[in-house]
Amino acid sequence: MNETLNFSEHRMGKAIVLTLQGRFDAAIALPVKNRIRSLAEDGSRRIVVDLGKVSFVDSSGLGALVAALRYVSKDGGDVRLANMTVKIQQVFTLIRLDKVFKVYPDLESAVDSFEEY
Amino acid sequence: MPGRQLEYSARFGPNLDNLILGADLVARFREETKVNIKTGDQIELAVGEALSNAINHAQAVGDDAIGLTMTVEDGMLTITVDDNGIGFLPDEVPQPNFKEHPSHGYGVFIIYEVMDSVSYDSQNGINTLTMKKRLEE
Repeated sequence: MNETLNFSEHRMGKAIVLTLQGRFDAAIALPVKNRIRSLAEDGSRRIVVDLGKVSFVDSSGLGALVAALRYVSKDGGDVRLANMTVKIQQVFTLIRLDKVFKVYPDLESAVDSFEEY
Repeated sequence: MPGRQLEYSARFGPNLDNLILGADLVARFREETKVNIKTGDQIELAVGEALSNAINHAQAVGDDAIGLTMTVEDGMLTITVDDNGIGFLPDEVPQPNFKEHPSHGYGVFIIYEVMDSVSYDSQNGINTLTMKKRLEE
């Protein structure tokens, strides 16, 4: 059986880490986008999305991250991605989002990247 | 798997929560056919995109408005997604704008990228997207 997406967040260094777990598809894209927007509205402008436990992503899931990035970057913030698996990387590269997001191999390096931000 | 015939099918209503039913069907297909990981991932992605399109855009009506069928015959996988909605013309869907990178408009592009062939037909109020992919032996 496939697992629907759960997400949670915690503070790490100067960043808020949003951890996603399960299938990140059109059924859950809007809630994730809205959660990131809500974090930004509450003043969090350094956001890391941990994709290490995402079992599947489609264009709606990645589109939600693009929309969230656009929103956060309006106020000078950024959304950075960490722990991308090969499976997720393949979709990401297919729609050329490597030109849009800063991507880090692990959570620590993604969070550290905000130290001088 | 030449010569071996398999068929998987499901019908459901136009609700995004039903994407998981399509995903479960693909998971069963992957488990039983032992298709390699990359091909299995591509099939899972194409099915997800096709079902999302049908649910989000077709304006289909009814608890069995959308159908998913996966058939393997002589090593060729044929996937069909049908709906009773308004239909669309895949050839008229614009290519993604990779300069502006909007947050949507990638689904049909992805399907064409990961499948070997894609066709679309609309007859008697039923729209059918057919995707084919040759499976490794």
